Amino acid sequence: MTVVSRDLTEPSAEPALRLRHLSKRFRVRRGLIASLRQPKAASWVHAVQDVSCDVQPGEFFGLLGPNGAGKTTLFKMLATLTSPDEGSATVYGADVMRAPRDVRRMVAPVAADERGLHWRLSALENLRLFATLYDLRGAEMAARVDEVLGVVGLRGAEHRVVGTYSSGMRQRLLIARALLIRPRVLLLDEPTRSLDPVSARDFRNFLREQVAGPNKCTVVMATHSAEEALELCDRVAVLHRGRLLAVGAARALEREFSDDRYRIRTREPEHPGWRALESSGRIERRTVGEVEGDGWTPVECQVSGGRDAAAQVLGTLVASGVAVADFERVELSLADLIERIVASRALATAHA
Amino acid sequence: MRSALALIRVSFLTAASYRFAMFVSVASLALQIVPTYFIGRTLDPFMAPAIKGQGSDYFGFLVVGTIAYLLLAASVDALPRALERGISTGTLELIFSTPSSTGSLLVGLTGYELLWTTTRCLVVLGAAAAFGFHAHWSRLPEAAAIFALIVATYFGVGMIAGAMIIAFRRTAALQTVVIVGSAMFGGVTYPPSLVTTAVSRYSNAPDWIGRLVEIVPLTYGLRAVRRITIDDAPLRAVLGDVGTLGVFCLVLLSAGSLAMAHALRRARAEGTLSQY
Repeated sequence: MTVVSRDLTEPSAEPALRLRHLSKRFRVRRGLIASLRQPKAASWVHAVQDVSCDVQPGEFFGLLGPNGAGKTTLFKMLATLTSPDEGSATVYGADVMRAPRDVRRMVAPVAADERGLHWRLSALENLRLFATLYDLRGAEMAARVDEVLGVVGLRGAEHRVVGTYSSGMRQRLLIARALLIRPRVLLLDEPTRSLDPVSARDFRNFLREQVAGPNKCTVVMATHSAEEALELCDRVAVLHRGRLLAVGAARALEREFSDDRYRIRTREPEHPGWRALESSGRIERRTVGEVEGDGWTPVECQVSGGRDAAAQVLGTLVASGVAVADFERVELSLADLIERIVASRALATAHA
Repeated sequence: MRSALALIRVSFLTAASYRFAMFVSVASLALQIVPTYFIGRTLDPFMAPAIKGQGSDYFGFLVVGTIAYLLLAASVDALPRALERGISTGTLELIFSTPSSTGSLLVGLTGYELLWTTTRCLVVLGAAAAFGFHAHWSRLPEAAAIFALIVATYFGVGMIAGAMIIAFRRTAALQTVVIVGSAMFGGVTYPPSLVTTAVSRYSNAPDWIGRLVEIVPLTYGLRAVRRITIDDAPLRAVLGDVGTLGVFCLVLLSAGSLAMAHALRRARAEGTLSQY
C-alpha cells in the first residue's frame, strides 16, 4: 500500500486555489489559576500545519478529516476571516492577505451551522441584503435573487420568514446566499451536518447537479464523512491534526485504502462453500457475527479484485446453495481511512 | 454607502417585526414629557439663576438635555450592541466575508439605531412643544449640526467599546461609565457649573472632581445647543464650545478607528470573529 502523493508539484497555469506551506496556530486559553501559577507559560494548538496543495478550476474537492482536523480554520483563512501565520494562499492568483477584497469577490463561504441568517426576515430580504453587500443592483439583483431561489428550490417560499424554515431549507438558503455572486470558489463547511439522511442525500444530488456542474464553480467541501467525500468529490484531501496526510482522486484513495470488505447475510455461515472460496483465495479474513433475531447471520469478508470479483463470489455462493439475503460493501470509515494512511506513511518513511 | 443602507433597512425590518416594543418605545418617551414638564415648572424658580446663559426656562433646559442624552446613549451603545448581536447570531462573520468596506459595514450596523433615536428625539420635541416648550425654531439647523457633532464624538467611544467587544467580548462597563458620567457631569439635568460650585463649596471632595465637567464633551455641545435654541445666541458666541467639541470629536473618532482596526486584525489573527 502506498500513500497517494501530495500534489505539491506541477502547478497549473492558474489554479483556483493554491496553498503553500499554510500554517495557523492558536493560543490555548488557560484558566485563571493556571495563568496565576505560570503567568508566562503559553501553549499553542496547531490548527493547520504546513498545508500545500492546488485545487483546479471547476473541481469538486473534498477536505476530509475528523473534528479538530483544521478544516474550518483552513476555510476561514480562504474566506479571509482568519489570517494565516505562515505560508500563502491564493484564489485565482489573489492573495488572501494582500488582496482580501478581491478574494471576497470570488469566494463564498457557507458555514456549518444555520447561523448567519436573519431569522425574523424573509428569505427574499436575506438574499437582497447579501446581494447589496456584494454590490449587485437593480434588475440584475432581482434576476439573480430569483435565479438562485429557483436553483435551491425555494421559489414560492421566498416570502416566508426564515425562522419558520426547516433545517434543510435554511441550508439551501445559505447556499443560495453564497451562489448570489456566481462565486468562482464555493466553500462548504460540513453542509449536511444538520440534515437527516434523506435530506442529506437530496442535498448531495443538488450539489452535484446544480452547483458544481452547470455553474462551473470550484467547490471545496469539508466533511468528516468518508462516504460523502468519496461519493461526491473528484479529489479528496485528508487532514488530520492540521496536517495534510494525503490528497488524490477520490476513487484512487478509496481503492488505495479501502480493503474491499463485504457484509453478507446468510442462513448457512458454516456451509462448505465458504471454505471453498477461502481455500481458493477469493475471500479472506472471514468473520462470522451473531445470529440475528430472524435467523440470518452476518458474515464479513474481504474480496479482492473489485466489483467483478464480488459478483463472482456472490454467484459462487448462490450456485453452491448458500442462502444469501444481503450482499453489501462495508463502507470505509474515516477512522479506518486515517489509520491506514498514517500506517502507510510510517511504512513509506521506514522504507525511505 | 449602498451596503450601509441595506444593513439599515434590514435592522428596520427586524425592529418592525417587534411591533409592540416599537410602539412602547415611542409612547413611553412621549409620556415622559408629562413628569418632565411638571418637574421643570416646579424647579424653575430655583434653577433659573444656575441656568442663566443657557436658557432661562428650566423645562426647555430639560428637554434639550433629554434629547442630547438619548443621542449620546445611542451613539455610545449602538455599535457594541450591534457587534455583540452579530457575533452571537453569526451574521457578523458573514457580512465581513463580503467585499463591502469595514467603514460602511459599521455605519450600516449602527445607522438604524441612530435614525430611530433621532425619530424618538423628534417625538420628544413634538410632545415638549405641545406642553409649551419655546425654542427659536429657525435655529434648529445649527442645533442639529451640533447634535450631529455630539453623535460623532460619542460614536468614537462606541467604536472603542465595539473594538473591546470584538477583542474581549466584554466592554468592562465602558458604555455605562461614559453615559452615566456624561449625564452627571455634562449638564443633562442640571448645569455643569452646579457640579463645580457644589464640589468647591459644600463638600470635602477634591477639586479635580469639579473639573471633570471640562473633560466631558457633552458639556460643550449641550451648552452650545441651549444657547442657540433657547437664548438665540449668535453662532460666534458658541464657536469656542463647538471648536472644543470638534477637537474631542477628532480625537475620539481617531482613537475609535484605530481601536477598531486593531481589534479586527487581532480577531482575524486569533480566529475569533464569530466566537461568542
